[in-house]
Amino acid sequence: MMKTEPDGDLRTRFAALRSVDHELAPAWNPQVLQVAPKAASWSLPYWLPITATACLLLGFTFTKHDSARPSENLSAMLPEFFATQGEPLFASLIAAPSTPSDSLLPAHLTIYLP
Amino acid sequence: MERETADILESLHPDAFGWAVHCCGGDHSRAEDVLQNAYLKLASERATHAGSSSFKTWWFGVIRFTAHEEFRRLRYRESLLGRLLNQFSGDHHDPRPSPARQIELDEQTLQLRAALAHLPARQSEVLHLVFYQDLTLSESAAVMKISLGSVRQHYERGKARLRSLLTPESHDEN
Repeated sequence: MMKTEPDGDLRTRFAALRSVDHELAPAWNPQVLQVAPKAASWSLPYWLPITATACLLLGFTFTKHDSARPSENLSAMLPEFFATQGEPLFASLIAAPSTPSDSLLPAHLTIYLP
Repeated sequence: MERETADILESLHPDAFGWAVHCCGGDHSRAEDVLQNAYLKLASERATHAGSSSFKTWWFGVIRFTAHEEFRRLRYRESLLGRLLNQFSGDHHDPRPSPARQIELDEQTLQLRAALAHLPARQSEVLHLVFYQDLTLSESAAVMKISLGSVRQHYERGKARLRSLLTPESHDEN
């Protein structure tokens, strides 16, 4: 009686895959064991692109903020708060005996200066 | 490097490539990069064989580790930031095999590779090491850095699952 190999079906399939891979394998090159490793294994540090991107974003944000400012002279655009007025700020007892609200006061409270 | 080690590496080269292809999910070009980096590790003595296990199991462990490193690098490159950088650097990678290679892969081979891709990584790895590389379960455990009991469990479950994936009935259902 013929003895069958256990898992022979899987072994056959894997053997086919193996032969295909062997055909596609790159040729053996002994020089790979003699090249300088440092230059070939160099890779970009992980923190570098992250830091660079963060700096770019910050720079872009500040640039945009600056460009949003009005380019004209600020003092020219603002209203005049402390400009000299045509009339004195406080009523003078001598020069202005009557004010617009005097009519609202009772007569005995209205001061008339001589 | 010693002549003897170089000779062993040469004799293991085709199988090492097959193992690298498996570790890279069937991507031949990435497997070539992984194998190249593993050779560089050996040349620069960043990986040295201590002698506690056979050279083959140790070497396959190095390739597996290098493939995992490459996978992490790939995941980073595929992240949003990485894709942005690739736009500027012009570094694009096409994971598909070239048309010439696709012709060489027959239907059964492609079916097996697809079925292996459906298995959990450890089950797929142990099946490859046993059936493709002809390693024992204890040697596979040394390569995969897990216990023999775990390897046995992954092996049995993996075999059953692979058979169910390869049978025409289950293929038709999918």
